[in-house]
Amino acid sequence: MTQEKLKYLFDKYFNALRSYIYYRNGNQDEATDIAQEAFIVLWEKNSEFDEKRNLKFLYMVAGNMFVDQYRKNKTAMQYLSSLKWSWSEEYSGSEMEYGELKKRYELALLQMPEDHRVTFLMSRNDELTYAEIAQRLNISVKAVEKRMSKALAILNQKIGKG
Amino acid sequence: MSDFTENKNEMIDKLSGKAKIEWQIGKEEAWNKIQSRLNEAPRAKAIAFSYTRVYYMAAAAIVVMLGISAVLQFYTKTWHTLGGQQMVVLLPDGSKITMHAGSEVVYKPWQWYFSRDVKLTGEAYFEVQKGSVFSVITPNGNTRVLGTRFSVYSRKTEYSVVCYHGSVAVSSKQTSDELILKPGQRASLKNGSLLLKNAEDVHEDSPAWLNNNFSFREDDIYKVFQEVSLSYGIDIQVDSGLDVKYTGNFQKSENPETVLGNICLPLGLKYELKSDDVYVVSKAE
Repeated sequence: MTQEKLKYLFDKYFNALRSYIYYRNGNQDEATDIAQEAFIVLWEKNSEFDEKRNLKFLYMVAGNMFVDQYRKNKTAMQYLSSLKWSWSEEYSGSEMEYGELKKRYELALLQMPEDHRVTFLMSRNDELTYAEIAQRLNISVKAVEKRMSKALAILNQKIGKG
Repeated sequence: MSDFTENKNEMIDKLSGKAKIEWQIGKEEAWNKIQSRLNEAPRAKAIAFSYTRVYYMAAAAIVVMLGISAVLQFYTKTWHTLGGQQMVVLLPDGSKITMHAGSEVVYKPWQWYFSRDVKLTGEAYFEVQKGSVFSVITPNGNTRVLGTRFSVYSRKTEYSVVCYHGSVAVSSKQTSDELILKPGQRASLKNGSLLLKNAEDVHEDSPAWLNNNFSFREDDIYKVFQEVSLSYGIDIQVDSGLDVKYTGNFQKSENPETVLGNICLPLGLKYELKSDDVYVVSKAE
């Protein structure tokens, strides 16, 4: 694989990759580090350029690195404590209502199982199709669908009350 | 109710659309960091996947396999018995060949489990383990069995097969006749075609020579002396022009002269010791 090819993959997938880790650990710096490391590993491995396989490899490596780090810091970060979002300002309703909804949305995301959160955010934030998510996470499309509907059910429940 | 749920889903859509991650570290910065490390990173050697390479590998593998199978094909084991000897050969699957004197057995040990073929000249008794087809190939004809006990005699142009247990298929090289033998039956070659006979001389479970006996029934006198000479490893020169058949059963004795006496006397023949282990048989005056 040439540097041009690596750059091509980087431009196309780097943000989605570090987002994926961020959805899991809620730590921007670490997520960025891990995504960078994954690209270095891909470079060192020096396999043929094959977009689909390379991408799968990047997600696998990054996922493993996250799990390794998570194990090391297990006591320190038992739970995901926060996911920080930058919210766009336009909202048609009242300021107070918006603030309340944002809070509930963030909380619901934190409280749902990691799989559901990651799948939901990959779909909504990174705008990936179910097939793309399935491929990157190495699971079936059926499993993606299931996780999505569960995530939506949880969000519905948490946001809807009151 | 459904209105309400639809509303909530819409709300979720709106919320998820408005919440984005604002990265502290820009993409460019991240790339620069990666790029600075690319040159120092130890890299696995790139092995280009090419079909030519695969073809070469496949070709090499085929050559190796052919080589191995050729070795398996052509590696043979040969056993001989000289006059006066008998030998038991144990085959890889536990089948047993007892070779009579003056015989030769050839088989392929590394191919045994694919084809149980034994080449035989002379005479031998087979105890075959059950399994795939077991063939005894002789210049005069072939015998095929599955698992049984039988003996094959193939010297010069004389060919006979006796079945002791199970059943055997016997074929002749010249006419490609085939006979199926049941226990106690004998197939022998007469003028190129196979004859089936109930072998009245087969009383035992195995051929006479296996128990150090001689058993002849209406046998040509030259064949009789040939058997005796093979069994003892002696040379017997018989006058030509004798047209005598011999029938008799007796034990193989220490001394060939007892046997020669047994045969010669009732037929009006005599024998003389010419030199060491060489006897001459002729008509008694």
